[in-house]
Amino acid sequence: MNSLRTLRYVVGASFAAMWRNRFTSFAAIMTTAVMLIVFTTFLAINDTLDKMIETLGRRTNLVIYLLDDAKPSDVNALVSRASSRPDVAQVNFISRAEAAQSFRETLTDLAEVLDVIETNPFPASVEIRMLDPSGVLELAEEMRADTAAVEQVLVRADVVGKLLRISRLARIGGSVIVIALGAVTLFVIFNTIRLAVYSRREEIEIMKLIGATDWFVRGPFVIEGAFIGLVGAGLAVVAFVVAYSRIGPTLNALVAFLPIQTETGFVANLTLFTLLVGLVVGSVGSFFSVRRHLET
Amino acid sequence: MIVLHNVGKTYETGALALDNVSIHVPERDFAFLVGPSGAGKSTLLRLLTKDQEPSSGSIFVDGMNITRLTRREIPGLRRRIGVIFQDFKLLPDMNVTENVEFALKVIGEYGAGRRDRVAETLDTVGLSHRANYYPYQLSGGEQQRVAIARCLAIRAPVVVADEPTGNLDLETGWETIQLLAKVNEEGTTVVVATHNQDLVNRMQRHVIALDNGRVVRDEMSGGYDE
Repeated sequence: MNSLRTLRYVVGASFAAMWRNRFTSFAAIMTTAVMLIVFTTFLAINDTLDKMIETLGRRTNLVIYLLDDAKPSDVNALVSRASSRPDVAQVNFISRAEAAQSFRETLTDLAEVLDVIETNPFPASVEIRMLDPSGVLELAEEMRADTAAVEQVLVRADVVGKLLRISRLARIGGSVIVIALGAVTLFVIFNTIRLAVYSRREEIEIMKLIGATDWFVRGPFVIEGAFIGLVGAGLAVVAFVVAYSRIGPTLNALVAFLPIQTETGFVANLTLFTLLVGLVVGSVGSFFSVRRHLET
Repeated sequence: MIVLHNVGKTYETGALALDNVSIHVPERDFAFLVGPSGAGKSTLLRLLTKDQEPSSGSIFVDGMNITRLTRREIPGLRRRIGVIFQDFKLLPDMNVTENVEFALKVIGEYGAGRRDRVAETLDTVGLSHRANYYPYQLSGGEQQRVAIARCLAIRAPVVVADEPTGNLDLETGWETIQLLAKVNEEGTTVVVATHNQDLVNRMQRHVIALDNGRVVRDEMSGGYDE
């Protein structure tokens, strides 16, 4: 019962202190919010890039056109070599007849051309879909080296390669920005709490003299930091969700292949995660500030 | 009740504040700690509340060897020692009642009797009519009585006062000492550090004289000078 009342006192004291330093608290909340808006935007971009890579990866990445006079044993060797790679998901052999058939089916208007030519102009081919598209260029090189069976190798995965590079850059750049902003936010919260400690130094001195426990003295400040972090995160989430719900569908309509997530599950996860990050940054910043400025 | 055994205190600057001090203040005693500025009076009181650590020796308060207390045990000690200062140390944005009540909240006293206890202690120190006044609306003597009420409210068995009359005129100073004597009569051990020769001479109680960090005189009944 008493500890509940102490908790009530501690929470009350932290809000009173925040009100007393409301401008500093407000500045700290806004800094946290800006930091977390960048953070959530970065997470959303990263997620979109991941989804794009995944979607594109599901398509055929590599087409190997075979020489017309390639020996079946060489072709079999090529297929089994490709299949045995751990980063290859699927290998399809398309015979010359199947290629012609596929041409007739997909381009019915031009089917007559094949009748006129009388011979089948299509080469046999092997289509490869990668499990992990990052090895596609290396595989293409390997296939090109197989002069006994291969006429030409077509890499459809250049887009994927570019995306992978962009994604890597986004990850590194985003991490650097998030770490820098995180450090700034920690510093701002650290200083906000220092100011709060300073403005209550008389009270703290008297509390210690009378025999207040560490928790009783420190609690209000840690709660203040946690609250600043949480409210900052809340603002960031609101700003993000509003912007995302407007920009997301527009972007999706504009660039059809952009797999921008609009499901509520994704937004809910992002919201929870952002709130958690705000809470942790706020608590950690104030905890260290209190430890630094409240030693007896 | 309070025992110092061969206590020394040297500050980081190298200044010697206390030199091999051994004293004994029995339970329910009223003791004056006298001596010129820099004699070590305030340092001695700070050691009792564990605001500072001795460089050597051991200190017992209420049967506890406080030199061995851990950080977590310090609040427990301070709840047994009420401290009174020359500058009162009241919270300026709380009124008299709230200042006393705050002490009870700090030590976790939230019971239904809390308000009654505050009213009772304000009555004891004669400040019932000032219950809703803020410190700036009170005279020095009244502020010091609020500080004493704070010690009474938490029922500290020991009260130490560092120059409690330093900011007060002679008459108000005497009233404050009389109030501390009344607190003492009700069973509280009281230690008062002071320069005020007149008060010490009028009281004729236990006197411990310090000079340059050493005990130069310790008599159970005496005045400021030998």
